[in-house]
Amino acid sequence: MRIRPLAIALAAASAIVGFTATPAQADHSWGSYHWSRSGEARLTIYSSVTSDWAGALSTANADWNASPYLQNTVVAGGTSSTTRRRCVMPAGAIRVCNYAYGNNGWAGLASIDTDSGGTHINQASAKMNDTYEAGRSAAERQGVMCQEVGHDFGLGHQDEDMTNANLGTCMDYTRDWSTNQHPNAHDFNQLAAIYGHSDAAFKAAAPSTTSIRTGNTVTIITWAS
Amino acid sequence: MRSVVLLVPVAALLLAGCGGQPPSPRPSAAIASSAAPAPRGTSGTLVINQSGAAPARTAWYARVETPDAKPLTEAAFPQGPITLTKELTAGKYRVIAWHRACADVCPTTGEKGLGPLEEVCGATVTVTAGATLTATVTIDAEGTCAVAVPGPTVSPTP
Repeated sequence: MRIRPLAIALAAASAIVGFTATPAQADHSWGSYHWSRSGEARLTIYSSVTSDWAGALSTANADWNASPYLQNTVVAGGTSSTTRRRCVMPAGAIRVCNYAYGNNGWAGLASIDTDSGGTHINQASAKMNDTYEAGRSAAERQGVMCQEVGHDFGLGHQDEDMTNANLGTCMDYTRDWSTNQHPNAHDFNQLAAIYGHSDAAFKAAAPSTTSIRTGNTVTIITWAS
Repeated sequence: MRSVVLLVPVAALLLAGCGGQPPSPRPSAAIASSAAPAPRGTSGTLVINQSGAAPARTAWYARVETPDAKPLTEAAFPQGPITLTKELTAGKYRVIAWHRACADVCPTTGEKGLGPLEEVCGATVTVTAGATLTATVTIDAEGTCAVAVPGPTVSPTP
């Protein structure tokens, strides 16, 4: 496993400085969920998206891989309607799908499976709802993709007010995605806070986003604007 | 990982399951209700009901939460249609419904035989003081759902 110790150390230091200097930027982890790993996480992301979403997934993966704690790879994961509709989580990996999931109110849905009663993510999925997103701007689709994939790493939303000023991150609810298509420094600081520990329990902030636990599966919902 | 195991289809003989519309609704299994009673004069009524028959062997759930995702009440409907009534302080809320597959008869308590979340839907609703708002969870044969909210209706004066 390729590890980037200097980058990780710098990121951890940056996280500490960042949190100290900008207390208004609250913790936005999703629960205390994280992938178990030694060094950086090196996950396989199965692409079960159609060609019109492939670019957004590729960009989102590159964006998140800018974190020294992530070095993930996108591979083909099957794009049949059944595969995309079910979007079954692959063991030890992430599956990303798009499909017209219906007029159900959500634009994106991220789900994780954890160890029993624990916080380690074993597998995950991210769904993009074409019922809402098929006709939306490229910026919005990029932002939603980035956000759902970000959830699968254990990140929550930075902000859920769609009408306030953009925070410059895809983890921010907005009606104008033009400046919210990619992660920002606070996301990378948060990843450092989550993954810069020795895999012991990570203390998380109280959730402020719709989250549903069903057995060992937890789902976080990005509502459609 | 249990959730994956539970996705394995079960025999068709196990049709005595749940999620379909029984002749008469059975009591739901309440999970939680953390909301304080709404003050009189500032409260309205939110009614959540179901339209359409849910697929067999699916357990349905409904939740009302605040816009910042604080759950106010949540209930399970493992053997019957969704039906939930809640007095709430006037304001905005989110109504959410979802279902889980059941390996056999959907349990009224506990996790045995329940799979992970399969479908979820929701909508923002605005409860008005003195009015009743009905949110309808429409479920189709495949188990997909949508929450529909018509305009508020004013309760008749007693």
